[in-house]
Amino acid sequence: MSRPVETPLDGASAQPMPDLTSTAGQPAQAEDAARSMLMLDVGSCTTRACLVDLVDGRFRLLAQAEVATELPSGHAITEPVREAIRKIEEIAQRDLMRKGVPITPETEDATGADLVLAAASAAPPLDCVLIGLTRDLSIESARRACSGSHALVRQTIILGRRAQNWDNRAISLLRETPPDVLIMVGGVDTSPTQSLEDAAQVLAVIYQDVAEEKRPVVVFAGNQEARRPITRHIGETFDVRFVDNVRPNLHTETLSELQRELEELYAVEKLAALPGYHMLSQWCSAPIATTTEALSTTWRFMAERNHLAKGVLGLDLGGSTTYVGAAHGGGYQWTTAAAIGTSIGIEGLIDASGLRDIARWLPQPLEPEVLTERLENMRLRPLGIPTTREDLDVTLALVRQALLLTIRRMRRQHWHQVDKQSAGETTPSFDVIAVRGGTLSSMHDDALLGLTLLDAIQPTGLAHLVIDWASIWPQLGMLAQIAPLAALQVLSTDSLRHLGTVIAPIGEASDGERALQITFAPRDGESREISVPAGTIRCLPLASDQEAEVSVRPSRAFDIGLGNKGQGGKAKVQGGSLGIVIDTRGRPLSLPEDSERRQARMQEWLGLMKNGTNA
Amino acid sequence: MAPTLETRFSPLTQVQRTRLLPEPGQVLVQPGDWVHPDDVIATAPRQAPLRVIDVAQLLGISPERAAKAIAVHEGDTLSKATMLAQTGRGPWHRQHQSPIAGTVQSVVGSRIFVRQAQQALQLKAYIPGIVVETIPQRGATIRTNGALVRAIWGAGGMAHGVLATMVEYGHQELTWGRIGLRYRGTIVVGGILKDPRVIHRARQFQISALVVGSISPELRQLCARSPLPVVVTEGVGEIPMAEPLFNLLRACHGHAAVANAQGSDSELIVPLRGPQVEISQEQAELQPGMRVRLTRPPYLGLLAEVIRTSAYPESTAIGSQAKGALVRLADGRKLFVPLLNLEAIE
Repeated sequence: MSRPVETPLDGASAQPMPDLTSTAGQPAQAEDAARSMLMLDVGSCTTRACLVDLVDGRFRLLAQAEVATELPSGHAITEPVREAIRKIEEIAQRDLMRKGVPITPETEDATGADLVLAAASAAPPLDCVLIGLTRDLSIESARRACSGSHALVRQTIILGRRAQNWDNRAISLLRETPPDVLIMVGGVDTSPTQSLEDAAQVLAVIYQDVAEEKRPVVVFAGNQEARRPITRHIGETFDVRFVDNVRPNLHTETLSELQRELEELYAVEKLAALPGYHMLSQWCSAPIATTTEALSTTWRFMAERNHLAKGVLGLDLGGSTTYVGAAHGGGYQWTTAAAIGTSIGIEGLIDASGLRDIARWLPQPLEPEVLTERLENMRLRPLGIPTTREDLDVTLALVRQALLLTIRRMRRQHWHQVDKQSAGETTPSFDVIAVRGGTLSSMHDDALLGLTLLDAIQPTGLAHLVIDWASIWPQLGMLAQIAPLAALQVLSTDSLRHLGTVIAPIGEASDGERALQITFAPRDGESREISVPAGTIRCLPLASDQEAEVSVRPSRAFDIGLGNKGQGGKAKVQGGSLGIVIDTRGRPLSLPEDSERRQARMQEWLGLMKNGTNA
Repeated sequence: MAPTLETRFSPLTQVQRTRLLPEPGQVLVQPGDWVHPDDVIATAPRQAPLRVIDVAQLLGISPERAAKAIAVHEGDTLSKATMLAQTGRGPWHRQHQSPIAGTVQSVVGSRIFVRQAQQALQLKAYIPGIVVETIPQRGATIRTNGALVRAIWGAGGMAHGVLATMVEYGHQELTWGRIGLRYRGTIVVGGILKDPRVIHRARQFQISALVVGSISPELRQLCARSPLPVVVTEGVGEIPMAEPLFNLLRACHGHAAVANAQGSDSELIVPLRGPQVEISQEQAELQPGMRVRLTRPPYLGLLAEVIRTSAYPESTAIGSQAKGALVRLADGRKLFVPLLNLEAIE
């Protein structure tokens, strides 16, 4: 048996990772111009506000508040925003508005704030119709692009020679309830263009007498040869946008340009159309960003500021949308699961994954009919919160499934290019996994929260797990673009709840077989040697402000994220409320098929998390 | 400042609803006018329907052959007898007549696009009452006094009719056997809806709308597809209609009512004569003594009385922190319930 090679586990060197406070201790001189910031995030379920100000020379979070967004028809988004600001005024005992309008800049008697920044995601996703040549190629690619954006496909029209999709029903639907976007795809570059041209002519006829402001935007992501004839046929009737062909050849798929265009359209066509948006933008010191755009800035900021070699995996679980982003190596990849979430998005989640896949995460038996009723009622009253263990279990089953589904989309879309070794069913290794969402940040049981995230994300290698406990990461993303030091100071001091560091090898072995041999050396304690068998979870207590050096030697059945089974490594790690969590249940995680055995295993795992945390 | 709760039900209130055309048009009423639910208050030209005739499909020939066979051109007026296409030659030639009337808008390949005659869009008043404001080219605001029920869900659109309570208690199932021809045109009130035959029979006998406490989950899709308006006051499952609400609707048996079943904006209005009352409030201040409804399992649908409210977050049964109220259930149990899991019942 060859001796495992010692390699730094964090990908670079045995440096403490991830030190999210590395430059946060600097005094706030660079941003003298702006001392106080009022920051807003208008979500589809919740509107959040927070106030940041200088305290003893450092930027700190002074207050944060949230209110239900609830936008009955015609109500402006400024209404929940005002309500959230009023709550901040109450908490901080400081006047921030005059006659319902935020006061900027801050006055000498400390009323108002120097900056007002806002992000928003309260608009429904783009309503899209796909038009393409073949269902299994270009249409499938376009569908994938939509499933990773703020877009929902309501109708698909196939242009095959004998296809009868331009029927009266389809035409009436297109005219009477025009979609936001018509996405035209089809043909590899340099293939014939006649079918696409015919489709363009039909579209021109259909919308000829429809008021201009009601006509959809056409995004063409098909055969590049067709650009000129398409412009000729419909350039005057529609706002036509051309992006890269999603299938330039049979073996290549290019989705990023189409997705970028859809996100831009979402911001312009949907967010900007929200009642009150214009007024809110007048209140703001910078353009309103989409929440996902602001979040991406925060996660990139975390990765770049801390020079994290494997980067940050961010997850945002909302009531109606789930968003996953990965910042590493200066790049950023993301996917948005529109209409998939834990309240309004329950229906989409059930449609996408089925009730059975949600039910398998329940640690207690629950009749399918009862589960269906629960989920329906949760969807009807999206703001309610669980107050019993059984209700919480149902909520966490939704959390697991929504995250799992979105990560699966991320994997299919991006990760096979990032990490070929983990192209299968595993999540690549990241230095930091950053998670946010109202359901998660309000949970008080860290063991249950930690287990939920391990089940859903199934991290590999070594990753530090943090939660946006104050729900302010989108706001900090906007702040980072204007006042990076202030953003960094608040991010590191006031926004992170450290759950701990996870060590999770990839591989499978029979339960009880040796999986990992670990040397755990806390900076302020005695070194310990621990053997962890396969199929279990082990927690080693280590507080958030403590560090330890860990040396991990896997058996030949496991890879600890270094690309080779049996290869060992070492790293300095930071603790958290769960300390160091060693998860040898294998990747991908497989749950027993038998429901009783599965429920027993889930309870056993939770017991292991809780025991370890209490040890 | 006392926390507020969403109110689901008001026995007597002032209701104002603004009715708007989707397109600019002509408003037919003036402030001060009295209107009935079926009165047209505004009208607008409706987009002319566009129909497509796929000649290749119609004749069972290739699109190329069909394109050559088409005998009409853009701008031609079609009647049902107009020859659309001609195939074959000499004694074998066949002529094909248009199945519809209209004007040829365009011919693309083997498809003929025909624009049919324009129709007018009529906007009805929906609630009976007085017009208090008109919005030029768009519509009007109508005011009435009455009972208002804000439902949790609904589907099927708007309807009006006389209220007919068909069950004795809010927890009773509305069975299909109770639906008969004599209830044609009424808004039928029941407790729990479990049987799809109720919906089919209600359509068969032209019932105007159904108002129930809860529906079985499998009926939701059926309701969403059916043109019969169904208004659900409590939720999904076997949740009884809240007692005060059921008692009110029973007391209104025989009164004219209007139902609007449109997702989460669904409601039932029973216009009533009464003293001058305040306009309906969607929020009510949470106070001790107030009757509330619990909205989260396992207490979903239960009624309770507020004992005290919390100014600061308190621990729930699973340890999470939330602002809320200590409430007493009908069986005497006391519970701390987060504000987000409560609704004001009256």
